[in-house]
Amino acid sequence: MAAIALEHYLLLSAGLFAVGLFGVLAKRNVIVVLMSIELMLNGVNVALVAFSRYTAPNELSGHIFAIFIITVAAAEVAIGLAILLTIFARRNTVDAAEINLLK
Amino acid sequence: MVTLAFFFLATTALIGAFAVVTARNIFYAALGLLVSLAAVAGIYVTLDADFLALAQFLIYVGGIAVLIVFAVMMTAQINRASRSHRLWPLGLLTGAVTLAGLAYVLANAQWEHQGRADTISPMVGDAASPGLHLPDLLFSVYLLPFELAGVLLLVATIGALVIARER
Repeated sequence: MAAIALEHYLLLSAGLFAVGLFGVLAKRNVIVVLMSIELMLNGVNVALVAFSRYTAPNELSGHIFAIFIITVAAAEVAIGLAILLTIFARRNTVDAAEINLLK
Repeated sequence: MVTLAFFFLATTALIGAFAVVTARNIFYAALGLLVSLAAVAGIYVTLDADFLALAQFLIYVGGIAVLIVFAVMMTAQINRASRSHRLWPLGLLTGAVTLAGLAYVLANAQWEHQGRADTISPMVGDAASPGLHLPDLLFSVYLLPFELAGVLLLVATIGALVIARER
């Protein structure tokens, strides 16, 4: 069986990113939009780690990037869900189309 | 063996991702996300990134996914379908164009491999240089970003508490 090439990982990464992008653009529920953002970040992480493994296996710089992306994603989800719960408490909806406070 | 594991994990990750955007029930979407994140953790193992795989499991599967399930429960709209915008075909088009563009680029690009891509198989033992470990880097070269990440997490924790506080 042939070994896995860098391109396989990058294709997986592109697939996760594209699916996430579709979710962010198309879904109305803010929770699903947040989940899709997580998918996109995961796709990017896969690409970074794969590049690190295949082009510079001795440096681990891709791993460092991925660690910090995971950290920022955790912070983003915490804040995002806090905002979401506040909006739900006040407006009783999690539908992005009905959240129009700035109108 | 690794090849088999990779294709299994990649398929699982993509199926989970599709479940997130296609499931009508929001709770199933959250479960799909969980499956996808766990599969990506496995993908990290095939890339010799053991520490990242562990971090992925602890932070994403153990933390973020549970947080999202909580949010799904607390907003009490589980039985309401996860609907799409009227303009969802436009989103689908954007996603498809992005995927096609990325696939085109990586089919044509030439990367500077240390050796050729198809001759380096992941899992060649200690290829990820035995002396160098992630924590060593985090506490020396990348100390400042590491501390900043700590500050960011503190700010996010306090911010989340303040925002979600009952008034």
